[in-house]
Amino acid sequence: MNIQQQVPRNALVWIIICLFALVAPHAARLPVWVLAVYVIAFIWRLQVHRGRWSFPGRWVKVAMTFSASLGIYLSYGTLIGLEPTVALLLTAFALKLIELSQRKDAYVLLFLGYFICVTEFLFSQDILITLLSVVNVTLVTTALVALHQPGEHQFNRGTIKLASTMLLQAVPLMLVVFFVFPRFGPLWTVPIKSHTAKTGMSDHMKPGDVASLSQSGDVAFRVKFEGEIPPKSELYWRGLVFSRLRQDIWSGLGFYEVPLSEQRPSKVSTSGSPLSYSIIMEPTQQNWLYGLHYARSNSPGVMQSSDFRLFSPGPLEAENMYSVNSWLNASADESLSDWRRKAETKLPPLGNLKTRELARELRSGVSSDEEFVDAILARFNIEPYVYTLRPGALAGDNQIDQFLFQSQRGFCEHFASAFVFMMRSAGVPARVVAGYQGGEINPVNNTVIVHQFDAHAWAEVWIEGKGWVRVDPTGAVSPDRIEWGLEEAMQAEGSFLAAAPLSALRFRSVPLLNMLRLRYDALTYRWQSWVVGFDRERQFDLLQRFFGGISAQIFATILLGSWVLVLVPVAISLFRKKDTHPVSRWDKQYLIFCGRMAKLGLVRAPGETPGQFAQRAVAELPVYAKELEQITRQYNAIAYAKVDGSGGSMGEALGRFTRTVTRFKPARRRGVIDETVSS
Amino acid sequence: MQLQGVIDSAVEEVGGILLGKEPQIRLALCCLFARGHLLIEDLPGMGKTTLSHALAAVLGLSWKRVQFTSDLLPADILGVSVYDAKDASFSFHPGPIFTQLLLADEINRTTPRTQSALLEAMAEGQVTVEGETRSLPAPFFVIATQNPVSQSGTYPLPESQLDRFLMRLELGYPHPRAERQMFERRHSGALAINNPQQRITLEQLEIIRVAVSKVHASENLLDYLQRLVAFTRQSPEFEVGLSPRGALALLDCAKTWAAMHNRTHVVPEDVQMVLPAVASHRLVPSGDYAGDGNALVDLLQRKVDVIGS
Amino acid sequence: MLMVAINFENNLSYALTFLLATLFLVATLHTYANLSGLTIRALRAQPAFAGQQSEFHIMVERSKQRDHYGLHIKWPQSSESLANLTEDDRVNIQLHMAVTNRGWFNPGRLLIESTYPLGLLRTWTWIDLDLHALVYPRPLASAELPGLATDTPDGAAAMVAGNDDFFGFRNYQKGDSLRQVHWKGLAKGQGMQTKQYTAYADRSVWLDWDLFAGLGTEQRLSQLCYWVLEFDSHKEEYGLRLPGLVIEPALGEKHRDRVLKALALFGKEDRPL
Repeated sequence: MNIQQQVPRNALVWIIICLFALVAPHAARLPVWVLAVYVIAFIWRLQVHRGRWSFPGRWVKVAMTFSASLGIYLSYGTLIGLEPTVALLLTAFALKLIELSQRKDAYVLLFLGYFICVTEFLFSQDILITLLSVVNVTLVTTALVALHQPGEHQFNRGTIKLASTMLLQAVPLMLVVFFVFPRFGPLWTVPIKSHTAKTGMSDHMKPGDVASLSQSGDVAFRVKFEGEIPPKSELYWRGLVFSRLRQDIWSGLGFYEVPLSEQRPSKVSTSGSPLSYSIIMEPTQQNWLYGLHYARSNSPGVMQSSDFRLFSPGPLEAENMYSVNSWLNASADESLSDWRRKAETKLPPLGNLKTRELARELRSGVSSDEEFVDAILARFNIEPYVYTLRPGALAGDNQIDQFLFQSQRGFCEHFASAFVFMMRSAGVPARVVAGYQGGEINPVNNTVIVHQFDAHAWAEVWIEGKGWVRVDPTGAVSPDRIEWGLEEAMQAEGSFLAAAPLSALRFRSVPLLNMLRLRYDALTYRWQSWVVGFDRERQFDLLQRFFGGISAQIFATILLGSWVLVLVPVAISLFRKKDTHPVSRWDKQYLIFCGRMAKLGLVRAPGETPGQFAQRAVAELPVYAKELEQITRQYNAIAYAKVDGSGGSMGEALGRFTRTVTRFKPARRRGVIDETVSS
Repeated sequence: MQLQGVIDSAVEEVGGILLGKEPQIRLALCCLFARGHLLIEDLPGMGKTTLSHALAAVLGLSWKRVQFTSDLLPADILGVSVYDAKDASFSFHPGPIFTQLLLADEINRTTPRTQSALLEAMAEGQVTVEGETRSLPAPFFVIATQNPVSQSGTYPLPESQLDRFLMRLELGYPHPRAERQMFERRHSGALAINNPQQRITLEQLEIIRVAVSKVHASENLLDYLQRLVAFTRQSPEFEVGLSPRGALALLDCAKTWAAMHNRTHVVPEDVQMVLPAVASHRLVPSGDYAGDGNALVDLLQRKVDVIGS
Repeated sequence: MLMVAINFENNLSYALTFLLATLFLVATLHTYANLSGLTIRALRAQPAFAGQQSEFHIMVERSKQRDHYGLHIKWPQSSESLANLTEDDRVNIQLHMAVTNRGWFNPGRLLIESTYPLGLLRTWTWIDLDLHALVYPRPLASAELPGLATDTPDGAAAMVAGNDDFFGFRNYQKGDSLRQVHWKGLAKGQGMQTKQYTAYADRSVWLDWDLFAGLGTEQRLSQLCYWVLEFDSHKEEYGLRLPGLVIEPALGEKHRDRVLKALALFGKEDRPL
């Protein structure tokens, strides 16, 4: 085989490093057997390299490809969709290693490697993943460089230097292209992430759901307010509205259950300046968005439902950024349509009789719906109800009865659910709202971080003349929850994040760690808002700001200009003639001296020693005999003698020599010229 | 003791016999101080033998002279075991090589076999005769003379063996003034050969050796040496460049030269002074190049930059 | 990859795609840099016989700035050599190339190319080197030398011109060197006699242009060339006589090269332009 086509050993090592580095970020998503394929591929290739085993035959290759596809199919149940596709790609990547023998195989492998780097971003655009991907791209580039170092039979770590240098030089250009490259919408529909777990609130709620969600310390979303951050007790992030109760499970009204005339939200009159903020949501694979009461958004892809929720038409597969205006005091649905009144008072025909009884009893004791609300809250407050993350499981029928009259232990969803049930029992329109309450304020960048454990459920009651009014029964039981958050509310119980003993959030009491965590979170926010959230609108704004709009001409000018700006310095640094031999400082000084002499027509020949040159120079220019002698003596002392003749250190001698040379500014005086001419 | 004074007096002593050849005398002394063997090459009658005799006398060394002829055998130089009938045993009769200074006259007149026997002894400082190794006295110098190869009936020394000589000197015709002086001296009937006196003792030889070992060669100088050596290996004019042994010889000689001139460090001038004597016989011009070893040395001196740049 | 970025509207995929695109741009400079700073020096060309391969020695020297990898060096018709300049500052490479015509052969412009570092781009350069190979005539065997230019009756001691011992006299023959004519004898009236010297060699031969009368120039040269090699391999002394050129008989590599060079350049310019 032609040596040119061989894969140098150095490259092979880099390729294997790439292989494992590339699969690492994907590892958690892949079936275990794919990872096993990697190990097998590695061992096989190693044995081939050592001459123990041979390259696989054609049929072996076909069989391996087929079984890999079958394996993917069995693991995912399909070959279509993002995850199976990526898994297939990764498996092919490993299998390709086994048959890697020629340079063209390595090309395929490495370009596949770049592609795998890209696929990683489809799953996460986290900072850490990005950093890891930068490392991976560097590794793949290094392997590509190593591939073109024929005859490099030792693993050579130096190869990575060139790869990193090139990538670093490419970054500024990349940024320019990134910011000016026009963003189109998707050209065709792409495989979606069908196999990634949905996170956050689900589309229905049964007792215990929110409590279990509250075990997680993951971030749900981050909010940046344009003005002051409202008090925590006002931060009720509405996400879902549950209007239907069936078999103790609350759920929202389906799309087709709402008649066409009711599908548009009724007009809400707003007054005063709104609360403006933007939210970056982590991917949830669901399509609801969060916002404070009465939320309106101008961001593309954000819609409003008739129960004043915000939602996205498609599931959130990546970080999503949108901005919202909220009017906390606006009253929604000042008048209620008959259909909605009916829908919001509907209860299952049977069950929870004791609760219905209690509700009717309490309603009859008061004169207005508002007083009725207070009465129920008062009962929650007075009776020995316990707000707890460990409410104990309720089973069977009549779960609200069980909660209200027997266990009396519950988390927010128990209280909200019972409250709404009682309201509806008395014919008052009411519904459960699920979302998050509160959040952590990050002093570093003044964002509000809302975690999963801030998940909350509360109620909305329709009051004549006021519209939908938020009522939080949990506040009646545990005011701390609303005022301070879950951690304080659960302090006595010690159940906060009990399932995640190592979560950074548990170490909030350690100032240093807490500071680090908050700083990192601020960085994440900035990363998400700038890089991840960069879209057509932001691009337009940016270009508008700097260049006053964008046209093809400006686009081309920016591109070309930046190329010149970046490539010219790179070219200069590459092609600048460096001194082939590092010149010592005294040599440099001596050469300066030689340069001055050359201007007088006295050029030192290469083979001329300083002494010989000085002799010749003195004969030509006797006026400078003293200086020439001094320079030569000092140079010889520094360059050749171990100890400087006049004592003192090397540095001093060098300083003296430099001064002598600097002072020596010979000028060929007229007299001298005459002298030489006449002689 | 003033080293330079001693050396000057030695140079003067030899110079009294060999007129107008001071540079060569100094180089010859330098070679011996550097513990190297010396090859003197020139046409007959140029004073080769005179110089070697005078050097031996000035250094006060025991010396023997062997005239190399085409029928000379290795045993004639190294010695031979002779059966002694009285003792009924073999006894070794050492050859002329067992001396401190061996004058090998017209070394290229003898056969390669005898040449190599001598050169082996020179390299190792010992001789092996009939399986028994005997070391030669210390110090042991060889001053060999040879006629230029162009003379007929000679066996020129191969390049590999030339390398064993630290220096090669060419005497050349005397300066007209010196030649005139020579005539006058002969004319006036002055005793032409007044035997030179010893001027350097063995102890002083040792002192010189210590002085040489203390001479400093700076980075700049070593760079220059390296450039010189590299040039001989790269330039197309050279068929054979300087060997590492040749490079070391250059450094040794330059250090000795520096010590002889009362300096504790080597300057490029030292290298340039010893360069022709050290390098000319080690360099082989390539086929296309018209000049000989001396021309190559000249090229080296002119082309290689003394100052790194 | 751009398709992925567009379809998923994934900013980091965009970034990575653009990074690779700009990497390509930067790589053009680096690819070019791999050839920059190199010094190519023609060392020598091995003489060859026409129809054979000549070996060309070339030295590639680098600047101290960087390592150079994967340099492919060749002439369009020659063998190819692959060089790296990493630890050593210079490498010597040998290229082989068939030579056809006698005289000085110039291999033309040398091609140096490389695809380092990424393999996506190729950079190359053509270099004119002052490198000429001496091409000897193609040796043509002939069964016998048609009348040796010596007349040794027994072959024990050949009569050769040389600086060796004087042997005796013989009658002058046409072609003998005038320098060896015994002029003193002629003056004494002994007729034209030639001084003879013995050499250490057994025989020596004059290879004469006129030996091959009737043949064309090239053929004569080829046959002469054959006999040069024959005598050289048998360690017999030989001399050469060409119109306008005489090389005294001798033996050895240098002599052979001299004779062959004379044959190669017969009727040609000594140095091509």
